[in-house]
Amino acid sequence: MGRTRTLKGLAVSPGVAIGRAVVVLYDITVPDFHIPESDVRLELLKFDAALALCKEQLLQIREHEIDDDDTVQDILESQLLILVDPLFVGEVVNRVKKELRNVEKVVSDVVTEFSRMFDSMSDTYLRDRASDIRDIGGRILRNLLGEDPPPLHLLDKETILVCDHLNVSEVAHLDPERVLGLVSEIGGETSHPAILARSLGIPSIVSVLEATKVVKTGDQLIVDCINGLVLVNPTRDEFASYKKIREELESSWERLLEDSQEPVSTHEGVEITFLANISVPNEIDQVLRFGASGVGLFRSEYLYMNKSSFPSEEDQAQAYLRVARGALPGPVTIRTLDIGGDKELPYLCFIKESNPFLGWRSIRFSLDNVDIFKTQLRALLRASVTGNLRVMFPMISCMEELWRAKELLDEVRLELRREGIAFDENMKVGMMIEVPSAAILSEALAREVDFFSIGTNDLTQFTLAVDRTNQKLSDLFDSLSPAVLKMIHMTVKAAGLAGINVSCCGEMTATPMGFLVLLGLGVREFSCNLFSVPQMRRLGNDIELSLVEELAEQALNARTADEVRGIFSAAERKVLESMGEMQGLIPSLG
Amino acid sequence: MLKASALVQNKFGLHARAAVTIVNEASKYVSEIFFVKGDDRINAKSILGVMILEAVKGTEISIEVDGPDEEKALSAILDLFAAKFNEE
Repeated sequence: MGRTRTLKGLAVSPGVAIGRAVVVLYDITVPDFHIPESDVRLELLKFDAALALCKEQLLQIREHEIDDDDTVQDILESQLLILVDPLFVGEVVNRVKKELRNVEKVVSDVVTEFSRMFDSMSDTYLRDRASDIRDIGGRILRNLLGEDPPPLHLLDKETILVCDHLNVSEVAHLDPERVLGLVSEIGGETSHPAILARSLGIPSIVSVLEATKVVKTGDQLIVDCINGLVLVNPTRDEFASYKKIREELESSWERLLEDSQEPVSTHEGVEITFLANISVPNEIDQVLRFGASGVGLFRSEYLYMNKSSFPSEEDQAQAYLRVARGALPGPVTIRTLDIGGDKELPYLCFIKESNPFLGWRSIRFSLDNVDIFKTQLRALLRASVTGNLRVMFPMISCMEELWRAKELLDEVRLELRREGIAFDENMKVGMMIEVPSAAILSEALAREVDFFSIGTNDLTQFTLAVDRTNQKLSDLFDSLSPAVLKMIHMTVKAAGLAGINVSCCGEMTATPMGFLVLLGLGVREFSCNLFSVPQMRRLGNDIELSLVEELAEQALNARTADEVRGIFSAAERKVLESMGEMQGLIPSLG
Repeated sequence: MLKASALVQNKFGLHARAAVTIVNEASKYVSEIFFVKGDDRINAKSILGVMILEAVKGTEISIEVDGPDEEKALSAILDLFAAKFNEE
């Protein structure tokens, strides 16, 4: 048994996980250079040697894994055959000869092309093989580069993934049945991989420095999201006590779910609505069960991310229908494509921007790519026949963008009418308030939409000019900054004046203090990640609204985020106490 | 050179496991073995090739075998198709 160590990090989703570590390094820097003709033979010999080494490694794993789990055996079999596949090997050899490039780059390219081919297959079983291809590709590369081979990708039950960084597409593929926990060296609380991990309900801790160097595959790990700790090779006592904590959390969770269908209201009887943020259509199955009244944010870009090309209108319509139906009778708000920034599409080459967050992304991308945007709008309108669908535009920064988006939506409505395709003529159309200019212009904007949804993550980022993925700035990124609160206040007021609905869908809604502040500022509709819904419902019940509103008024006059925290600290303590031991289900945020 | 046709009969078509079975069998023979489906012509000894074919249940595959042991190879492959790749 290895050494016992305790590592610290930032818990981004609640719970306790106990399992065996599988360490994966996602970052492989592939060198890329020309080789002279005389070196070709050597490059190909290197390739042969790497393939042979891979075979040895896989055979060793196969001996080890005399499991009754067929899946492991299947994957090993496929990978062994890929190593001798004339199509794959032949392609690499030909390219090295023709292009006179180093074999590492060629292998990387060929593997990427094959895996993308598989990404776009209609058969799910075959589509899953894409990760096998990427996995064996990674192994070949590491052997070529003389680096330690990665372990076979995660299939064992009770696995805790320990990696250098969380990659969005990798996280999207994780099976919460097998991957019980995530530990990452980098990654912020509101980074998209973290958001995704939360939406899958996988206890995750990020910013654990040197995790991949300290932890070895096979180490016993406890991921403690209550305290933001990773215990490596825990003692028997620690193991026993965490097992108990985990059981208690699980039964707290069950108890929370028991009350999930009761409405939530303040002490004064004002109703508070909780909705869920989801990224993957499958999550819809849990939404109502967890007590959310519907979906406050469906992040449509994940439909674009697991593929090798833009999703078709049909694919999108099916996905939106699934989500809309699954939430009935509750509402579903779908946000149009919001890529760029830290969400990239592998099949679309984004020109390297010096400022991707302020760049050609999100609604700007959509408005400049009318075909792609209209395809999405068509799919959304088609799915709206369920009667509960709402659409919102992200990152609107000026009136013209909103007008243009609405114009395109009208054009699509005309097209569908002409084609005789049914859609909800009364579908509500709204926008996100996440750019400061939109908050400042909110009075005028409120007259042009059916609802606002405040995206506090990006609003904070833009208002404070802080890149939310930059770890050096994590202290500065603070949604409780009075500047941000004033933006929110302005927006809520504007919505009230125009008589439109306003909700909040940032990560702030899932933190006790953030929630109280938002409530005090006048927000009555909260959308947070799925696995936070039950706790927040419990927390929000029976709150003294008049007190919280008074505190919010004070907070608007505060000078710093710490002063805001000071103003609300007693109220926060009180609601946490009322949660009792269920507090453990709210992740510690460092 | 020998040619024959076979029907993909199993429920999930030529998915990964069936593909492995085919490739393992085909690789035993010296002869060249190709599967043709519409415009696609792939080497039956290539696991990626066979999977990319995405041959679902009901697909008719044309099999071409060429080499010294072509008779044995073809009959073995046809047997596999008939036996639904030992899957069901």
